Parts: sequence; structure tokens; C-alpha cells
Amino acid sequence: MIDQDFHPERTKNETFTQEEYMEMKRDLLKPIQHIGIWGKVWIGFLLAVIFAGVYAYYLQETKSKYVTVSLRDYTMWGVYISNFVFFIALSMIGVLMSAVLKLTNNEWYRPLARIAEVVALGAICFAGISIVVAMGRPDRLHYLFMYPRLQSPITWDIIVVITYVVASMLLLYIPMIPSLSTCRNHLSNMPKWQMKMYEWLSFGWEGNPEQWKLLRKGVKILTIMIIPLGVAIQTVDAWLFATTLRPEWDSTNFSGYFISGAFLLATAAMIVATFVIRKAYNLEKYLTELHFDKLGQAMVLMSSIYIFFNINEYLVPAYKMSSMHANHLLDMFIGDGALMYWLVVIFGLFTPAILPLFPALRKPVPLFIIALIAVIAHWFKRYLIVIPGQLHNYLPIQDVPESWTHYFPSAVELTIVAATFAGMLLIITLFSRFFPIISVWEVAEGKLEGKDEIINYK
Amino acid sequence: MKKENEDPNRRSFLKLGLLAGAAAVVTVGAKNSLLADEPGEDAGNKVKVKTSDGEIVEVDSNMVNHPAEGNLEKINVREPIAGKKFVMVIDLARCSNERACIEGCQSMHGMMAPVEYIKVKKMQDSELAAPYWFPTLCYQCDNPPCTKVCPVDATFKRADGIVAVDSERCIGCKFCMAACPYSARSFNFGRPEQVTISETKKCDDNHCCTTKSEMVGTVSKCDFCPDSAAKGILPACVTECPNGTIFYGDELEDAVTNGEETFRLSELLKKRSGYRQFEELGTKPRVYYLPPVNRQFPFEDAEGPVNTIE
Amino acid sequence: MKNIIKTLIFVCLYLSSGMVIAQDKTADMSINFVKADDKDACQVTITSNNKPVAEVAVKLYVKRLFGNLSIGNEVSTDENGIATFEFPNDIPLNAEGKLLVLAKVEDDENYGSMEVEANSTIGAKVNLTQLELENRSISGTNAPYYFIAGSLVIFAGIWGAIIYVVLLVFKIKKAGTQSI
Repeated sequence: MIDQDFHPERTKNETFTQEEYMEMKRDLLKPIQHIGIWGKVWIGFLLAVIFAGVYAYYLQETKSKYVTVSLRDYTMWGVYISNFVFFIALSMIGVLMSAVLKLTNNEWYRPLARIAEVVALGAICFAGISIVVAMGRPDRLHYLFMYPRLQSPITWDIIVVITYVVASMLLLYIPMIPSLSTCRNHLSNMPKWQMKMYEWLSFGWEGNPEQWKLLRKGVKILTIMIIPLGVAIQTVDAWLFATTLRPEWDSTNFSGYFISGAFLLATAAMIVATFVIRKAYNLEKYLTELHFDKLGQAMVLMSSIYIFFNINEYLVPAYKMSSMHANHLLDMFIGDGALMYWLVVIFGLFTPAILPLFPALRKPVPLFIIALIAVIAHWFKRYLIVIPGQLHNYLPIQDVPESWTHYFPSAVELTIVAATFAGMLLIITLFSRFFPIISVWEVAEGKLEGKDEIINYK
Repeated sequence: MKKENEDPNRRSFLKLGLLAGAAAVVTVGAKNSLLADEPGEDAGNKVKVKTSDGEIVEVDSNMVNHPAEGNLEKINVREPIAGKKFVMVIDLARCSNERACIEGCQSMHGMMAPVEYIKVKKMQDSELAAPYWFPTLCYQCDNPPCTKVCPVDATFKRADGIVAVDSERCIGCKFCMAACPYSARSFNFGRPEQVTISETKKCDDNHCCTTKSEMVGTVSKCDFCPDSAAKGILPACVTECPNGTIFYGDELEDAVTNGEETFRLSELLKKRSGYRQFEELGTKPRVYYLPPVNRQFPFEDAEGPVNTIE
Repeated sequence: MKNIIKTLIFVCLYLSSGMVIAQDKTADMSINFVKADDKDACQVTITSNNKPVAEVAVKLYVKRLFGNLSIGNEVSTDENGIATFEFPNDIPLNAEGKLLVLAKVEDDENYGSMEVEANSTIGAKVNLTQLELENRSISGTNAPYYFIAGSLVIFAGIWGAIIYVVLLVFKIKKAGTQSI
């Protein structure tokens, strides 16, 4: 069957057989061509949560923050900051899938790379929003650019985040150029503006050898560069805490702790995203059990490394039990924070480290459940890093009202946090409705080059 | 011949302190009479004020000018007080948790409880060690951990020793609060009752106080009251204390006073073995503590919890 | 009996004369600085009608920004009307290189209260360079040069690569030979 808009000359350089091509085209362009009722419901739900968050922010800024937000002088950083740390860690998913796996010749990254880049971009955008929401004077946001102090970790954070956003966008867009031209060539019955968009975004792509050479060169440079950038963004995030003198944050271990935590969260989030997209868009042929198998193994590796860093972060100070750390550690191990701490250790550290060792649990559905629980546990892990320590300063907290001696996020804060999640999911959803979520040419390229285990086992 | 007011135990400080406090309160309330030609609401009322010589003078209450008056347009929080380097010494042998320093400071800056720029904490360094009352405030560190992390240079170290906050620049990120190991800073969350108080005590847009605590969404803290100090007026916490616990002065003059007794700073620290809190953190505080040795009176626990109302 | 009355009258006269004498008399105070055995000393002289006054308690102070720093203990004037204080030579001088010294007599039974001020140049010069903050530092407003240089190098390296990649994308467009 030949589409009305099919131009043979444009497809001269495409790289796989006609039947494969038609099949893939049909499968991968389907989410763009057609949106079902549940798709619309999902988008509507996300929009509703986002509007609730916007309203909550309006309340926060117009009514007194003392009333709308649970922050006080001692717990001055709350869920906005821990949510920010979570999203920054999540953005490592782009580094992991596009770069680390690629450079270690794990060919199964190929169908997953674009999903990962979209999640990373969504995460980074809402990390930035999470931070702006936490500012006391958001009307002075531009001061960060007018009067920056280079010595401040926040300035480093802004520089690194902006650089990472640009690099991620490029790493998403450039490998997508061939796919964009596919969309332009083969989509039918789309609105005119959409077709124009593909035209414009494909940037004159024809697929001739010279263009392929340039494309591969650009992708290679970005792939190599995104790794130190990813490491930098996690390190600067860690230094927001490690440059202070607070006992719970004054740790030389923090950068490695954050980087390894980010890789673990990235792997778990990749499993979740892959499973959901696979189910939602019926892409079982392209996101196969192989991918879950491999991701499960990766998750075991990342968890093991993260457990190692946790041992260094908590058990080594516990061995010494210096009075600087004692209050905070005992609070986490056996005090008020113990329930959350041990649940996080079990579900965020040991579950992803042990369960996927069993091949039966590396099947899509069980692995998805494990990974989802791990992702949720990791949100609470960032909560544990940021919040409980603030109540264990060097000087005792005395003579303050009850609300100052503990922290539980308010309804406004939780709504805004939920809205950041909804926003990130909306970005991913809308992207997958306009652009193919799997990079066809990378899969085909691998096949052409005779690489194994891209989509299926050898 | 020993005079009554030389007895360091129970001085007439309470009375004098109240007078100075009254002056401070009147001062704060008389802000609408700062301009010379406007008669204040309290015109005709007399109030007692203590000058830096220790004398009690009675003046018309609307003549009691805010320390910054006459200087309103010129106060620039980034300008240091020339030729001075302020320092404080707190005698832990004298503190008995009167909390007059806290109340004086709150009325001076128009802050409502439980926000405290100066806090008095009960400390006990170890199980067998004796407890003591510990007034703590921003130490205006010489190696400040807070100014390092400010992204917009809203808090900075001045040449007169003071770590100041520019409320016009602060973006409310609270990083300085996170970085301070002494938990010395406070954030203005815009509590409705506080906003009301700040509105009534508001002088004008020209910075009558270097710590403009009424700026909602910004960070503030003790600033050693430099504008008063430049005119020879001691900060409220120093004059309010009935025991004369807090000594304040200029390090370059090598002299500190609690309003009644003046000592050479170097001699006081040597004789009484002055130390700084958490010296090992390397922040180099400008507040020295004299250990609670040879206490003037035994340690008494507080009667009950304070600041329990939200 | 006569003797008792005589004694009584004598005592009354004595007391009343004492009361007459007890009215505040005027006296002059002056300060001068001398050097004795390589040590600085401050002499406070009290005279009344050009006659030295003895046994008057004098206190010596140095005026500081917030009050008066007392020098030594209270000294009573000797038979020459001079109270000598050992004056330390390491008290920081003020901005003009002087110290404002204050001698006070407080509530003397004969002479009431009086005081006198004088300038002294005995003291330690204050090194005002300690007021200067480091021009560039981690905790200051301006970053140290090595900090800025290092940051620029890293920034230029990364962004140079990014800009290069963006230029590559434009090259891709140019490499398209067919017009669409």
C-alpha cells in the first residue's frame, strides 16, 4: 500500500527492506497518527493536576507563606528542594542510555535512547521549576543573572543545568533528524502546521552519505560530552549541600553518593518508562523482554554501587558516632525518621539489588513493579537527605513553637510537587504524540552493521 | 569607696535597662516624628534615655530620634562604619536567662516572637558538666560560611566586621540559612501578624534600619546595630540585660563595655580565658565567650517552656 | 561641770567649723604625663587657691566609643596634691593619634565632683590595614582570579563543543543537494 504523500526519491537512502520498513513505519507512527480515548483522558488528567499546582502556587505567593507552606526557620529547605534533587538525579537517564551504554557497546540501548532523552529533558525542566517555586522572592529571579556570584554553588548549578539542557536537547534532536524526515515523508492526514513543523525540523535531511557523516560526528561529540556533563550536574547538586558546615551534609562522600544514586534512579525510571510506553503504544515488538532483562541486570549493578556509597555515608560515621553526627544518625536509625529510613533502604536499595538477580523477576511485569517501587522509594531517599538533618543542628533547638520542631509538607507544597510530576509526564506524553518515540534508524543501523541483541536475543 | 552601682551582682541595671528599653520602644513608635518639623503623637511626653556616658537624661519623647535619623538617605547597607571593627564578648558567668536581651532586640527591630535574632539556650556540654545559659546570635564571622554561598551577593562581609544583608537584593533562596552552622539567620515568611507590625513600624523607603526585617521573602539576622553603634549608642541587647552579660565594643579601641563596666578587650579575654563557639569550624566568629567559672549566682532552670504559641 | 560644758562647746565649735569647711570648695585639676624609670605615668594635680590638696580620691579613665575605660585603681592625692597613675603605653590611639584621658573626682566630701580631660599621645598606633578586606576571595563579593580563569576555561571548552555541534547541524542542512 502506498501513501498519497510517498515520495520515492526522498527515501532513496533509507536503510532497510521495504516490508520491515512498512511494518516499522506503521507501528511507530501509530501513536502520532491516532490518539484513543484513554490517551485523551490521560492528557486531561495531567492538565488538571498542573492547573491545581498553578493554583496552589498562586495561593502560596498571595497568602502568607507562614500559613501555606510548612517551612520554618530551622527547616528552611523542604520538599521543593528534595523534589529538585530527585529530578536532577532522574535527568541522568539521558546520560545512562544515550552515552554510557553506547560507549560500552551495549547495543540494546538503541530503541531506548530517545525515550531516555525525553524523560531527561522533562525532568530537568521541572527541576528548574521546582527550585523557582522555593524562592522567597521569585520576582527577583533575574538577579541571578544580573548580579551572579561565581563562588556560589547556586551559580554553578544554573550554569551546569543550562548547559545540560542545551546538550540534552541537541542529543535528542540531532539523532531525531532522520526520524523527522520519516514523519514528513510518511505521515498522512495530519494538520498542516504539523507537517510544516516536520519539514522545518528535518533541516533539509535527505540521508545522503555526507549528511550521515556529519550526523554521526555530531552525535559522537555530544555522546562523549554528555557524560562529564551528567557527572557535573550531579556533583554540583551534591555540592549545594556539601559546601555547608551542617553535620549531615558536610561529607566528602557526597558527590559519588549523588552520582551513583542518580544512575540507580535512572535505571529504575528507564524500566518504568519503557514498560509504560511499551504497553500504551503496543510496541512489544521493539521494546522486548531482552531490554527488561538487560535493564534488570543494570539495576542490580547500580544498586550495588549505591549500597556501597550508602555504607560509606551512614555506617562509617555510625562506627565513630561522633557527637556531631550522633543525633542525626540515631534519629534515622531508631528515632522518628526510622520508619522512612528503613523502608527506603529495603525498597530503594536492597530490593532492586537482590530481586532482579532472579531471571523470572526480570520479566517485564515483575521488573516494572520492582522498578516503580524503587522510584518511589528514591523520592523519599532524597527527602531523607535534605530534610531530617535540618532538625539536628549543632546548637539545640529550644523555645520555639511546636510547628518549628518538625516538618511535614503542607497541602500546597504537595500539590505543587504533584504538578511537577504531571508536567514532566505531560512533556513525555506530548512528545510521543508528535514524534516517534523509538529511533528507527539507530535500530536499522545496528542491524546493518551486524550488531546483535538490539531488539532480540542473539 | 564602693558605690551601689559598682556592685556587679544586682545592679540598678534593670531600672536603667527598662528606661533604655522604653526609649527604644518610644523610638520605634515615634518613627512618624523622625522629620524635624513634624510633631509626633507623643509630643509633650517625657522619656528617660541613657547616653553612652551612663547618664540618665530626660528628654521630650518626640526628640528621641531613631539612631539613623539625619542619616536616612545616607545609610547604605554596603558601606562600613569607618574606622571601627565591632566585637562582642558574652560573659556566661552572668547570664541567668532573663531574656531581656531578646525582648529588647525584638522591640528594636519590630520582630514578633518567636523570631529571635538573639537566642538564649540552655547548654550542657556533657553529662557531668554543669548546665549554663548561652546567649547566641549572629557572630559576624571573619570567615563567614554564609557569604560564600549567596548567589546574588545579598549578604556580604563589611570592613567594620559586620556581615550585612541587603534586603533589596535577597532572592530568598535560604542558602545562607542552610550554610550557617550556628542557625543564626531568620526568614521572613510573611506571617500576617508580623506584616501588620512591620507596617505600623515602617519608617520609610530610605532604610532606617540596616536590617530591614519587614521585607517579606528575605533573610535577616542580628547585625550588631551598627548605625546606633556609630553614634555611640549601645545595642538593645547590651543595655537591656540586668546582669550586664553582653559586652560590646570596637576591637581597634581594645575596649568593650556592657554600659556600666568597660574593660580592655585583650585583658578581659586573657584573664577570663575567652573562647569562641565551635572554633574548630574555622568560621572565626567575632563574638567571644567567657566561660561560666566563678558564677555570680547558681544555675537556675527555666520556669517553663517559652514561645509555645504558634 | 565647767569642764564638760567647755568640752561640749569646743566640740560644737569644731563640728560647726567642720561643717563650714564641708561646703564645696573650688579646686583646680590638671593632668600631665611624665616618664619615670622608663614607665609612663599620669599625674593628676589638685590645687585649691594654689595650695595642693591632699587625700582626694581620683579615678583615671580613657574615653572610648561606648564609655570610659578605667586605668588602674583609685588613687588619692599625696601631700603635694598629686595622684600618680601608672599609664599603660599600649592602649590603641584614636584616628588622630591621640587618647582622650579623663580624670574624675567623684563625690569628694570637700570638693564634690569634678573632672578634667586631656589629650595624650601615649599609646599604640592602630594599624588600619586590618580593616581592609581581601579584595578577592571565596567569601567576598569578587571571585579570585584563578577561580574566574578556571571556570572560563571549563565553560569555553564545553560550550565550544556545543557550538561546534550546532554548526554541524547547519552543515547538514547545506549538505542537502535536492530542493524540496
